Amino acid sequence: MLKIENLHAILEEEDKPILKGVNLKVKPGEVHAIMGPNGSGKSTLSYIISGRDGYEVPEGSITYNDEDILELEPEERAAMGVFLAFQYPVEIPGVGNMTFLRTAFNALKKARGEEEISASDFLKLVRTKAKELNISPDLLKRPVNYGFSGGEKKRNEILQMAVLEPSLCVLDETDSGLDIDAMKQVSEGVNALRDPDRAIIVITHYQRLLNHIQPDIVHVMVDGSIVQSGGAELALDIENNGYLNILSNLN
Amino acid sequence: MLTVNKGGYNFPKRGDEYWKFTKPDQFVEISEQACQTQLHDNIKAKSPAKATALYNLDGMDKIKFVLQPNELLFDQSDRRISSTLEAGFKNLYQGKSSWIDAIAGVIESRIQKPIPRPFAKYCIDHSQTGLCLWAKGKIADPIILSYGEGFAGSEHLVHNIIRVSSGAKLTLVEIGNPWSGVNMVNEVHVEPKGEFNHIRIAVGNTEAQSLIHQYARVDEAASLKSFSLFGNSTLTRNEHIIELPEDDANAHVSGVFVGSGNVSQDDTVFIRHEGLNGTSRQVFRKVLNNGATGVFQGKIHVNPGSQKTDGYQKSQALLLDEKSQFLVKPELEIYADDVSCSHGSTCGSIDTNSLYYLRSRGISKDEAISMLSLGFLKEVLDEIESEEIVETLEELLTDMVNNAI
Repeated sequence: MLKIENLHAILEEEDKPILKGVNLKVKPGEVHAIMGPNGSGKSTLSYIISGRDGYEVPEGSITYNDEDILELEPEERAAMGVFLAFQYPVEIPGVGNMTFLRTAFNALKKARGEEEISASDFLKLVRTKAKELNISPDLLKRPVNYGFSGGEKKRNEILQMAVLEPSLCVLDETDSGLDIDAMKQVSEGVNALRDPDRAIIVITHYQRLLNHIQPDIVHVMVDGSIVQSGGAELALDIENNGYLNILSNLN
Repeated sequence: MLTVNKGGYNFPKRGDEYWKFTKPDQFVEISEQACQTQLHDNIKAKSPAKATALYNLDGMDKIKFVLQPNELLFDQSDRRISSTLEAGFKNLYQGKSSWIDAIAGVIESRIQKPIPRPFAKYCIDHSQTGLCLWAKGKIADPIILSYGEGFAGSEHLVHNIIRVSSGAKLTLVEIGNPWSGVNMVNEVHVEPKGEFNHIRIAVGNTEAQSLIHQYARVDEAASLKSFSLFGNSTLTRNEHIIELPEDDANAHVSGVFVGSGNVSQDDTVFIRHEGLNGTSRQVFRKVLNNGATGVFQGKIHVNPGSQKTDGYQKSQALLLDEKSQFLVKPELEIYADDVSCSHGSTCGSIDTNSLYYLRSRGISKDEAISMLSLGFLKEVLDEIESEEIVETLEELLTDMVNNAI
């Protein structure tokens, strides 16, 4: 489904290499966790997958469903089913959350050659999803993420995921800034989206989130490449011993 | 071809501080030609039968007037004598009504110092076209003043005179800019505890060159709220000159402009606080694309002794390309020592994070830019009271923004 080979990336602004040969294969239905210390390139990997400007890729490839996506615009990748849940969801004053969701939903439908949905049908759909995720209908009326609490922002990301139904979900530190209860709620939202046809990549610092979202495969990223992969027990090992063991083994 | 000083009107010249960013000579010709056109039209004037009387227009959801060069049109079946609204065509009133004589040329002349505004004086002296409106009580329905197609293709002078009596309430919506050139003045007197809500929707003619002035006097505990929406026309100068001579008066002036291409729109606002506890707001936002120019000159003037004045001024522009420009001169001139006044001006491009966020959800780049531009502009609509009007304006704005991108 997703195949990343020898991916290198440079942050254009600072001419700084961030990714130094990432290899990753994700199959439908799998949940992968990517862990790693600060500055190891985890978030950059998520940006490159979703198509953010400002990075140069001098080497390597990303194919999604056998198509090279590196040259595609972010909206084209979204139309293929790629979704990034942001670490810091952007506040957009003046744009209503519901309008945003409906525009995105219909844009994806249109790109896939499907029929757009009416405003009233969409309202029903979103209300149902919001209720399932325990999201207050109030959030739908407000501008996108504007004045939302940390927990509300993250839940709004999960709501978008539930409504847009992507085939690949990348969650960039979705646990950061959440208290235990909010993390539990968000995790339940993610678990509800587990599906044999959908792959999920969870990027996190801590094993804590992985207690709620059980990964099939855990990767450790250090200094721009994946240095170790294993089962869920690898995350526990990191929780107990930190990254130091892994780092010293590398040296 | 400049006609400076003709007829004793010392029209402003390039380089005058009050015309720092918009070249005033572009309007000299319009004013002169407008006068000639109008006099010529008057010679062959049709019978102004439709506007011969004062009309009472109570009891409608909307009260609609259509202004033409020589007449004022409206639905005659709705005409009734009223104790709350008086309306008529300016040319037929002149010299015959003391309430009009108390406003026409008077509100304007009170604020000609320290900056003379000869274009407005010229319009007031020569214009024979305009709506005279006197609200004597609370009028629930908005008055729509539509500028008819009869003006198309020539230059015109329009002078509207508006009076809102003590405790009265009036909502006036001016719609249209069908002229290739217009010099226009509204003179407004809002008497104590009166309320005047004004909305100008100047869209639809990309060739229009408009010079618009609104002079207002807002008395004790009275309120004026004026919002303007300008579409993509060649050249617009929109001036608000407002004085608050008494205590507890309130003035909100706001506006939105969407421009694309070789167009220029200038909002120039001057609010003078002369009483105690006055409140004023100036809120303007513009979206500029393909080399469009936006101008904002705003001043809050607080007289000595006008304590507890609360003044606020904000002008912001979103530049969608590198050729567009936003030229601003925000000013505070304060001679009292116990006031709260602030001003801010910002200018920037589309936020790349927001753009990426929307695009990552499948929204195309152009649509995302439209959404962000619209979101930026829509916040100004909070200044408008009527939800019905806001809804209409939102639709209009969406079209305008989509056309500009």
